[in-house]
Amino acid sequence: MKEEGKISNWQIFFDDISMLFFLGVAIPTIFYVIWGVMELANAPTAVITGP
Amino acid sequence: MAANEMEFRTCPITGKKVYATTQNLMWINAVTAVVFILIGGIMALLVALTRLPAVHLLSPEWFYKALTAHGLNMLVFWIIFFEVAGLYFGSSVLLNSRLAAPKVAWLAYILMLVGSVLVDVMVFTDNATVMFSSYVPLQAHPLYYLGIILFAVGALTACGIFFGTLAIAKADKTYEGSLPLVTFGLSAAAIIAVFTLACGAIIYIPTFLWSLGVIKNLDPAMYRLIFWGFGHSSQQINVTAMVSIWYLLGALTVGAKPVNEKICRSAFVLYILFINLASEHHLLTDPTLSPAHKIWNTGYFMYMAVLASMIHALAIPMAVEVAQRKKGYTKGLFEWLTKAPWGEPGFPAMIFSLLIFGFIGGITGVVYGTEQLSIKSHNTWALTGHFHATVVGGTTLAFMGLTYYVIPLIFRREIIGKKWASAQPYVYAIGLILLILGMSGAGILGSPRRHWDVTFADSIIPFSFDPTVLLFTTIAALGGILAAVGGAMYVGVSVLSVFLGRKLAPNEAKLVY
Amino acid sequence: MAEERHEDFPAPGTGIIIIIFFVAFIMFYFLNWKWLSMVWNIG
Repeated sequence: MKEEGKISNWQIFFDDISMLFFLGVAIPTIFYVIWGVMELANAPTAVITGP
Repeated sequence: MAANEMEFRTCPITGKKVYATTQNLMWINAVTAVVFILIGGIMALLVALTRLPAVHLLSPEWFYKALTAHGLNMLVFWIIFFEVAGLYFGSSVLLNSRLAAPKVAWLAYILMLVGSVLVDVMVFTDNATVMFSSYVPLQAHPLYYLGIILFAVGALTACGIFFGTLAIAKADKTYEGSLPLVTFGLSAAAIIAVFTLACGAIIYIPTFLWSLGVIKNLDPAMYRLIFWGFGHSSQQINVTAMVSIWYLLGALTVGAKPVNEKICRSAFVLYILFINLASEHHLLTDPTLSPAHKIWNTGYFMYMAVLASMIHALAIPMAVEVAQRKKGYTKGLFEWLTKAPWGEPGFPAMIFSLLIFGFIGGITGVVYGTEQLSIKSHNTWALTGHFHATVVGGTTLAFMGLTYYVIPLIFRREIIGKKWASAQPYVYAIGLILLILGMSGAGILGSPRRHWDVTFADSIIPFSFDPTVLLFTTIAALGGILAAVGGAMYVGVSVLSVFLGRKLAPNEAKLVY
Repeated sequence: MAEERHEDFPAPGTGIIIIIFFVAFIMFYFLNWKWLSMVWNIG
């Protein structure tokens, strides 16, 4: 990874565990949990008609 | 138990520092894991013998109880106790660092133990026959939910210990440069675990309150959404940990090093960012969620994680092949493989784990996770075949292979029954392949999962499957029996070695053989 | 020829395994779509 003393930006990003932690929790929370909860909360209630 | 936090020994093979606190905590978590695989394995055998119509061993009440217990003891307790031991290894041992807050790590263990015992007691006393998924409106006893919450809090605490140890290692400068690849992979697993356990808390706390009568209603669709944020993501922890163990076993067995470590790390980062979105595939047949939510999560994002799996599936065999070719095994295309150490338990365990997970588990998972195709496999035994390929053939087999190295390296005991240890991965893998093919074949023909009697003998409306279902069911049962034998071999060798194996001298540099 | 291949790609055996894997993947996708079409007729 280290070539002639230079650390690549990708290595800096991969080494930042706290950034990875934040993204790893935020992305599924937004796209799976929050989006899903919004859809379910806005689903219309069924109306039962007839006997 | 109360070892001096700074007391350590130096591993004669790797030169790493093994702190006494870390060793003790690894020991207790790993031994407890083996106890739970024993319970789960007995339940597996009972379930397999009940699904086979010719035997039909258990009554319906006992079948669903055994199936619930099997799911929880295997998917949750065995695997997560073992992973906690792995997290302590990946942080403290691989980074030459003392463990962060050992007393808190013991508290985490106690919470996990109390929680798991509470759950098992509730299941076996007819208070929680709700399956691993415990879907509302099925309601279990409040203590069942409390047990899962305690276990999850303990596991989350263990993840915190792992991250704390990474911070200590960085502050104390116990390693240079980036984290080792195996530790990086375990970090990915721990990050996924935090999302997993947070979803678990979000859903199990209200469910616990509902079981107490404090909350009147729980929406089943909402439950399913959040539950699978816990339920499937917990399996992704297993995938990530398993891949890390593959790299470790490759290094231990043949001295394999990744050809391009940057690509391997990128693949772990793809796991961190995208793998949890695959939980959506449990909801593909749910009517309420929109196709957009389903397809974005399973049709787009999930494939980034699939790409990551493909990268690892290429990188690991490539690393093994390059290492073997460097040793001179260059004849033809496969001498590197035929001349590999197949007699050592770690190598066949790694290879079978890779092949079963990749060829069977991975392919079936991606295909069944396609929105349109999922309807064909949903609720059939084909799905059970898929996840036995991933979690059992993949993760469990890899963990078994690693155990045979942890015992001499960390617990400093010689393996008892080396021939049994060598044979065990083969017996287990062959049994599993038969089990999985049987389940998949029967499931493709429509045989349901989670069902006590697939002949529907007592049904008001009679139904019978294609007779080929019976053939596949028999193959599955035979495979299950063989896999149970393999599991018993693992438990026997591990327990005997850990408790009765000859203690290795401090400077004795001995792996399995 | 084999030596040239080694210089270009260091793990030819792995390459074969990967090709077999992709073929298996394509076949399983095809089979599942076929089975779906057999149980779920359209029109």
